[in-house]
Amino acid sequence: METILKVEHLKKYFSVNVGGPFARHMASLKAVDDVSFEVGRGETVGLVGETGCGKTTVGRTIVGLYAPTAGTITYCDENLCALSREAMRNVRTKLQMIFQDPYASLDPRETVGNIIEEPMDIFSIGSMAERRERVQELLRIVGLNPEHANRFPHEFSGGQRQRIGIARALAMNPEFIVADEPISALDVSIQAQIVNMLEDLQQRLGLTYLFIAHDLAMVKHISDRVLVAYLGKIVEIDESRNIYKHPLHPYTKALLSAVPIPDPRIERRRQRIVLKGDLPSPINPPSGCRFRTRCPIAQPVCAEQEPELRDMGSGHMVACHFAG
Amino acid sequence: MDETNLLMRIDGVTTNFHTYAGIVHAVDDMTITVPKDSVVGIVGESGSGKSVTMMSVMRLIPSPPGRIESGHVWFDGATLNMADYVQQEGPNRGMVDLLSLPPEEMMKVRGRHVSMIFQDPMVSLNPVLTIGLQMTESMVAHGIADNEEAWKRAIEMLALVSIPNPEERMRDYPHQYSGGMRQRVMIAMALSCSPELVIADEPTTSLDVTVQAQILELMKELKTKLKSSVIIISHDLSIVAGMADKVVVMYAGRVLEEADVYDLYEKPGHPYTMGLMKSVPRLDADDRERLVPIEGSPPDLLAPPAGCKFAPRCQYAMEICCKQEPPLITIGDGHRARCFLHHPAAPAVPGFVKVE
Amino acid sequence: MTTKAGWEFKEGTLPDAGAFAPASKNSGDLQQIAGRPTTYWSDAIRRVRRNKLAVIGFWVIVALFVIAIVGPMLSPYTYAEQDLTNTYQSPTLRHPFGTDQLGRDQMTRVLYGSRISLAVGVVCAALNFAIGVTYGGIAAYFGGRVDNIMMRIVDILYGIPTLIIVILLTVLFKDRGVNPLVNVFIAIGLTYWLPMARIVRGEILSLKEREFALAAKTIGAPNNRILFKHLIPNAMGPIIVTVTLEVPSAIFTEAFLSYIGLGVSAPVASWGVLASDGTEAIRSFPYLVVFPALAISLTMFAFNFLGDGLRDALDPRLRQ
Repeated sequence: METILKVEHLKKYFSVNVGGPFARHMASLKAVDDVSFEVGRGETVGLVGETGCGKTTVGRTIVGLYAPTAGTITYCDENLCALSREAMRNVRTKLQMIFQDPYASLDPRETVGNIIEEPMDIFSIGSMAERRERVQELLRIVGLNPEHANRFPHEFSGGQRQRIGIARALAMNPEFIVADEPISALDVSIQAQIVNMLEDLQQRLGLTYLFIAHDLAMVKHISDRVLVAYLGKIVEIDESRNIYKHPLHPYTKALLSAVPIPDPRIERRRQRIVLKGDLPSPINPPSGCRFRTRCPIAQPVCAEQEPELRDMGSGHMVACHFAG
Repeated sequence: MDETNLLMRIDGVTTNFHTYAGIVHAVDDMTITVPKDSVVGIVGESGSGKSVTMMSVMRLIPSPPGRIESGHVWFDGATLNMADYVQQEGPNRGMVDLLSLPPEEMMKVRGRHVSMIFQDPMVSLNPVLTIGLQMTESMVAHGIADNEEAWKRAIEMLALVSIPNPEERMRDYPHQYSGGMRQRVMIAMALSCSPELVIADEPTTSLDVTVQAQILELMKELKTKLKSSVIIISHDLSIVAGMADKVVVMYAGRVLEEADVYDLYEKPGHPYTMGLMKSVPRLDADDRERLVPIEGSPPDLLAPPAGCKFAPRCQYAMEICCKQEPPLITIGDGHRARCFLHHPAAPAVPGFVKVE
Repeated sequence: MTTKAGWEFKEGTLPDAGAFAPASKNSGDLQQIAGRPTTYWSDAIRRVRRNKLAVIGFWVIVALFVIAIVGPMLSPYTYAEQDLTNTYQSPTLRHPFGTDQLGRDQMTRVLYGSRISLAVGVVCAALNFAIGVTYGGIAAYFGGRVDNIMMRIVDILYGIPTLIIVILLTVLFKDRGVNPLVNVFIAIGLTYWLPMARIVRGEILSLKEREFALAAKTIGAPNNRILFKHLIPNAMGPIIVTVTLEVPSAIFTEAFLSYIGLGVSAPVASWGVLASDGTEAIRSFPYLVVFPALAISLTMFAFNFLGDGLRDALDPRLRQ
């Protein structure tokens, strides 16, 4: 498989004031700390983790909303971090994003037609009539009525708005789409519609997805491969059909056992691995392995030495001293 | 249902919101029974009226624009100690209608007999008061304990919900707690007066998966220790699966199905319940099967469809479904569904039993 | 099954066989949207219209503009025309507001004064938009050091009282043939955009983190497009409310400055000048101060009622 996106040693630190309202003491919040992975063309890679694991930051850095603190992002053999502003703008049309909140991601003062047309307008593609034609086509592609192009976002339901967001992302014929929690704000009965549509669009348009979510069941369903992140690090990478059966990292195991299953008989028999304590602060993460403070199998070595991502065979990578 | 074992019966409650755009029919003729010492799960999407029903029970509907138009909430009078308001005869003998209590009497019910756990622990705690003060407040207000006793009991409650060093943490402010710990505090507060009923409105929705697991395990554990009934509201069928004895599925302000938890998941009796189950991927599924979504969107409650509210999205919809709303009919022991497919004249659909 | 299901049908009749036939369906209907098209503004206007005081305020302001434009034209007198034989006349049909110490028609002078007051209002609104909105928007959008420097400048300007600016300008421009009205304009220009800059900055700071602003960035929109096309239009509610509350305050400032003799001077008739002149003879001829004072209060009330009404209608937190 051809590699379309390569992220190497990506770091993104945010500087935050920890001195309180009257003192100025800056510290760096290590949102993403040395993350590397590859995405093949036409593949769907799921990035899963809980609040504070840095998954949204990874996605936003890839599409250029944040400048990385260190590391490189290579897209089709071009280093995005070294590109000029103008060149970056052009590459960006191939790298698009679908946002989490369909209520916040559409400008409430613009008609749906204008919202979808905007990228074409910015890059002066086609005549006005051609652009209008394309808007109609895009609305049909995402299953909306083209006659609604002159309506405003607030008139649509959550699922319909997410379709509009997808149409906007598709306007420039992108190759790679970062979907940042695209279904978590939607009603359960709507989520499957959007997921099925994303799968269909991938087939039709040859898209590559980075699917960011906290819902492990949905990530497992849609992805070919899954990356599990914890506190700014990737702790495990594996094929999605394998990860449920053979998780190696203790965090992945805990995460999997925490997901409820819609079956009372199974649910009442299950033994959950309940993690102790809370997520440590990303401003001052634990030494060595970041998961050690909550890990059920932590040993003294975990505090001293940081585990590297090791290949356990056929692309199954895990960052744990005691895995396998 | 055994009448003597009844804690609460929501009977025909209708709540509307009068907005400038028109009347929103948020809850329509809602009837739910809650037995003593049981867990009832209410599942529904946004706009299904699940929260509004519970806010109606608590009489916390903001008015205007909201108004409880009709109905009763019958609550077991034996526990309330309000002899003046207990029904002396009729089918609701021994019960008290919470909706017709004077406001000051209702205040004695809230927190003491019925308490609530909200979705967002961040906004449900007052940021400028210590946890200890907020925990003791309702115990003192309801006259269960004096300040000193309440303080001791609050420490016990915090220990019960596994907050480390409860004595010290009583003097902390909410922002010094993490999200999961705040939700534990909310649970401790809700249980502090040993209420007969705890209503948990999406208690884990704003939490991470592993924290959600912690909270659900805690709630199960407390359920076996304490003698409260619990109503757990969720949009997620899988959350109630592990806890509830009985599940109520709501849609567009109505009950569509009500059943014992095992019955509901094994032989759902309504196309909406079936659709919900098929539209979510299962972590334990072997193959990557395509999901079967429910097409369309939930109805606009300003102008709901004339017949069955689910008919426009239902793959089995019949002519009659678009004209008339089906009644909630009994299709098995304690199993009720609002669907015409159970009518003998309807075409046979796998999974639907016919009842006369 | 022995349990009675409990089927009930309308009018107690059983439905005919056709009732259980599959319903005809149009799959296109599933993604239809309900309701007529509504926009943010039509919604807001509907809400404002339910507030009677705001509607009255709006029409009073419209009336003021009409009167200011056509009033002096229709009057048979001019604001400076003296008639020394008819000084200090009480209100009559010929002079409904009476005449002043030089026999000038008071009504014509009040009408003319409305032009000055409204000109001050218009200048204030224009400066609010031109400087305040842009300044606050740029400071918030670029943030960091830009924001810091720009907002410290605002703080410094805030620290200088309007009165001092006007006194300085009066001294500077004295006897140089500069219209004193220009002094007032400059004073208002230097100070009245400041609250607007702060309010817009606050709005944009929160709006720029919203996902639609991020979405605009990911589709390659340049900064000025994001700021002026997406962010500022979304801050329009608070902007308009601020303008309607700033304008009366500017009008009042002009009246006040003229009253204490720092604004326009004779023979030009501003409401402040008229009130000041009238005060001198308040015991014998109270009507000379009553009418300009009424004009000032009416304008204040009208703008403030409209501003309050707009705030209630446009503030998303107060919406239902």
